[in-house]
Amino acid sequence: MDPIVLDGVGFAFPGLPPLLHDVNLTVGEGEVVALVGPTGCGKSTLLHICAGVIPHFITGELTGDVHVFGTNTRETSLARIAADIGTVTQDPENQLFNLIVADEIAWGMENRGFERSEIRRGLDGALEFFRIPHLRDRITYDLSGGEKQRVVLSANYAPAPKLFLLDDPTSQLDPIGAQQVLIGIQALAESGHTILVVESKLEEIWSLVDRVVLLNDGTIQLDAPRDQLDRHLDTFIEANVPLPQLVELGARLRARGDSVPVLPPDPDGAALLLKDMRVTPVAADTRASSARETRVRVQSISYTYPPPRRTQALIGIDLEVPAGSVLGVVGQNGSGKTTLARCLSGHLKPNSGSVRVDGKDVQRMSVRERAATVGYVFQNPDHQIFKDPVVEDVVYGPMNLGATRAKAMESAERVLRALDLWEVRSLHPFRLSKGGRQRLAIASIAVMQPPVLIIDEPTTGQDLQESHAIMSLLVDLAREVGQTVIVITHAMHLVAAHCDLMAALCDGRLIAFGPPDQVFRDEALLRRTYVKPPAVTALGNRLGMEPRPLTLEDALERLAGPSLKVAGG
Amino acid sequence: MRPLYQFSGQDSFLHRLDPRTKLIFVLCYLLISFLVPQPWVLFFLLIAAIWFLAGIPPTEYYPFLLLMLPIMVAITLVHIFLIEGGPYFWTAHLGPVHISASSPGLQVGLDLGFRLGTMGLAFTLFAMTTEPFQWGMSMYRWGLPYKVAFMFAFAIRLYPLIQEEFLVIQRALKARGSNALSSFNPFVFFPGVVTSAVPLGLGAIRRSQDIAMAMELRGLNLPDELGRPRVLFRDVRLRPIDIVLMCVCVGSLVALFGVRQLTNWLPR
Repeated sequence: MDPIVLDGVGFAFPGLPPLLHDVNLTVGEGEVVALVGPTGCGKSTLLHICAGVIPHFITGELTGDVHVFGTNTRETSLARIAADIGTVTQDPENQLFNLIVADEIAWGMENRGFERSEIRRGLDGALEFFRIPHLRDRITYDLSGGEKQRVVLSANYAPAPKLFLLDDPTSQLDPIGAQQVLIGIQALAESGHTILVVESKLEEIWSLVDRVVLLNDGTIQLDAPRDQLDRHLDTFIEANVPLPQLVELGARLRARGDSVPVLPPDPDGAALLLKDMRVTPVAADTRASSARETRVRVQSISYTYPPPRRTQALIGIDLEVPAGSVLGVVGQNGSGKTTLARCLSGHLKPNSGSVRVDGKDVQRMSVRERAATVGYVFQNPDHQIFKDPVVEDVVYGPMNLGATRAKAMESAERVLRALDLWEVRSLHPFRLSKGGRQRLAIASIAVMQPPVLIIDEPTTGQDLQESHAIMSLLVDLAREVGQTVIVITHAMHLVAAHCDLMAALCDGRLIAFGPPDQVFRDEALLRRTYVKPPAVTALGNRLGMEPRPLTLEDALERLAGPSLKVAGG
Repeated sequence: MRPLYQFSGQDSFLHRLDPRTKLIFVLCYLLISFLVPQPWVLFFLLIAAIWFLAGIPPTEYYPFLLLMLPIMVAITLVHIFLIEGGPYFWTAHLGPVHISASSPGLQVGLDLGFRLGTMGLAFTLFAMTTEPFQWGMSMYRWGLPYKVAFMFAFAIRLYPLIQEEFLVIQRALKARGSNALSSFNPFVFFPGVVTSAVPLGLGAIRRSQDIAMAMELRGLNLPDELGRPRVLFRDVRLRPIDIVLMCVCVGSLVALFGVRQLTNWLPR
């Protein structure tokens, strides 16, 4: 019996046009199916339908038939449907209800009425399976994001469900956390579980999936085996869904007429297949080469959190960031990125050293002066929405700084237009999409025109197009207004494509600083902080391309055609 | 710095006690603080108990102490100036208004301030050494329906998250040029609280919906659906030491009350 059969399924939220229509999908036993699509296309909604959340928990107009293990989900309760399914969503924080890890994992089995001996076996088995026996007695809110998500996976695995529904489980994790969770998903796939997974980083689960289903415009646009995806490149480009960089590179080289085989997503494998390609030398990237005056000067700052944490978060950081440049700060969680950003913005006072903006010490500034000098956009846009409607939220900051309403409105209009929010200025901010709220958070700070703008993870949960749009906007601010933009991010392809400089932190120390083209060369050094260069840059490292390609287009430009000799390498 | 009232997650004598024992202790302690003449002794005894029996030094919960300090000082000041009767240690005449600070007022104010501090500290001891799950399950053992007891424990587990969220919102407000939540001026502070309530409230609503859905998916209602009893993997049971300590607490309270009724040693 197939675990999931969707027959002509459609869904509309009350009062809204249909989000899904004519969805036909069958997931066979033991299959691993990846569900991809642009932001807002209904991927999570489709998972909710498979899990029985729709129609039992979330209401709306559901049409067609949904069968899970042969049972029509309309005809049974959510509790009974869920008994055979393990569901993991994006934010682990919303899936942990107990304080101690062992209680969390045991909870699902308690609810199913397992005997104590069975619960003990299930608990030990789940801890072993996901390689987390050391977390057994830990407090859940003290764990890292990756550890939390593995606990959630274990808690879903322990009652031995037959089907797993995974909704972008790595999207809110740092590289090491995502890697830990992916190892867990790999173990699930290898042990024959049926998995339907929404994953924005297809590259990461490439080796696990049997089929990829592309959801676009409310319906399934493509359902194809993984190894045939590169034949559908145009469909993916049209849907604005990225294929793994090197898979796409291979497809585009072939489309150009080059005779290259299907490339794997890993740079080592692809480099072997492309080692005979001719590499055309091009002029070096001059993004960061023009001399500009220093705007932010960080001198030997160190910071240790007070007890009981006592973590040495920053150790002797020295940094100079020019005016009008975009700096990407990278590193695994706990490497000191956010602490550095808080010291730069004056929210934390370093134990030693100083941070100066245009020569002024940020610690000597008042709250208002700091807000006007160093803008800080936090990771979650929902924490920064204070007023209704959108335009009022934007003028709130300038008016706090003493601007007249007319002046604040004038600035707000300019920023809202630049961020494509002017048309929605009268809406409640929470009616905007996540991408819209993220742009609003940036607008609310950018409107105060601080010389330095710090943005924590500006592209979390955004699709490729939205991510590039936000980063392009930040680059425009740097180029046109002369602001220094500092972006904390885990998205290396965005750092490569948009940042002039990058700083890699590891255990509170700055281990690399410079233009991305230079920093991405030392992969061994970056591995210490779980940073991997974009696949095309890593390929460039292996093929000795000069300068290193930072985007897919760079790589296409430099791979000139078949030859037995690598020119300029 | 530990957020206020957060479980400390250590293993100590106090952590191992049953939540019911600690609850009885806290209740008896509160009543005893009204019976003894020098509540400041109880205040410092409790700090020592938290330190030596739970392994939590005051540095880990100093925000609570800092929060209590202005309240204790305010209570003392009010009593100094409101309670009349000599001896007075300071007097002033502002036209027709006669202001004097009395020694009995100081005594009563300090007593009340420390009593309040002791009460808050007793609850802090309970919160820092009692795992919410055990607390919830012990109430379940005392007859509270499972779902109510679990939700109660879960609400406590959620509290530090909300507190952290509040700190982020406070920083976000500062980033917008508003220092309202750090202001001592009530006309600035309270509008700031209202402003921050928007993201905090909406975030809490969204989070609670996601959590409720996740609980359903993990089988919260399955025992009712299947008509099968829920099994508790980690049960909570009273140990002999718990029963002994409960008896000591109640016995001490009764004894002190008796002494107070029969002698003049304790204040009335």
